[in-house]
Amino acid sequence: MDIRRGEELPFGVDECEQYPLFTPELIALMRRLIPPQRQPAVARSVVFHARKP
Amino acid sequence: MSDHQHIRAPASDDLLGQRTVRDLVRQAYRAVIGARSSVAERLYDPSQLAVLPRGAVEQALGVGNPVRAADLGPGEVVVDLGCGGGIDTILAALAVAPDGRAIGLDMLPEMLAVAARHAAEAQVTNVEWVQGEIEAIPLPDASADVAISNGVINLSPRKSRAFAEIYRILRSGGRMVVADIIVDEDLPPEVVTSAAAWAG
Repeated sequence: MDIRRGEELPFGVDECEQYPLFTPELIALMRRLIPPQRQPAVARSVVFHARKP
Repeated sequence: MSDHQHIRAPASDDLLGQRTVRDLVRQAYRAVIGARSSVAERLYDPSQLAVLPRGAVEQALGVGNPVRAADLGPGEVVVDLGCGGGIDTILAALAVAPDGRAIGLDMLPEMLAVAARHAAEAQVTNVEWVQGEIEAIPLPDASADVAISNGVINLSPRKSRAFAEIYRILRSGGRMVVADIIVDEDLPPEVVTSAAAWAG
């Protein structure tokens, strides 16, 4: 199967804060436990493409 | 029949907490119906935002822009898995018009009602709304040219099942374009063990 990775964007704590599963308590925990330099990009949003044979 | 031939009920019938996860997701997303988010402003082009009703923009909770990446063409059938307030379904419907159609699938009927209202505001008519879960998509085999999803598969407690279903509904040569979250480095255990850890 043809699979490829497309556009990527950094996903930081500020971005997480906008989503419903990230409660204020969890965001506070992330800000406290994750080193500040990592907080702007704790994850990445990625667009994946695949084609069915 | 001897004892060892009996299938014993597990201590919990909620295998790997799947139902718990699903209920958490359902509650969390139900709670934000009608709330305002600024997510779309970061992810969508001004030209896309310009054709969308304000409600669809404010309800957006995706993590990328699968419609921009999907290279949709007129006449295609597109399924938007976990359509939420309908932002990607509406954009897809516009891209495949006039002969194509977009199908928005969501597990929350209240969310589908909101999405349908947004589509009506956008005067988009080549769209259908289907209630269901991405792990059991209520559509026929090989019925879609394109499956898109935006920040939804990470919420599934049965991701492999969801991908198997996407494969089933796509026709041969059909495309899947999924925007989602990946985590490269370990996060603190207190974060990983939270419900939100399913977002990754």
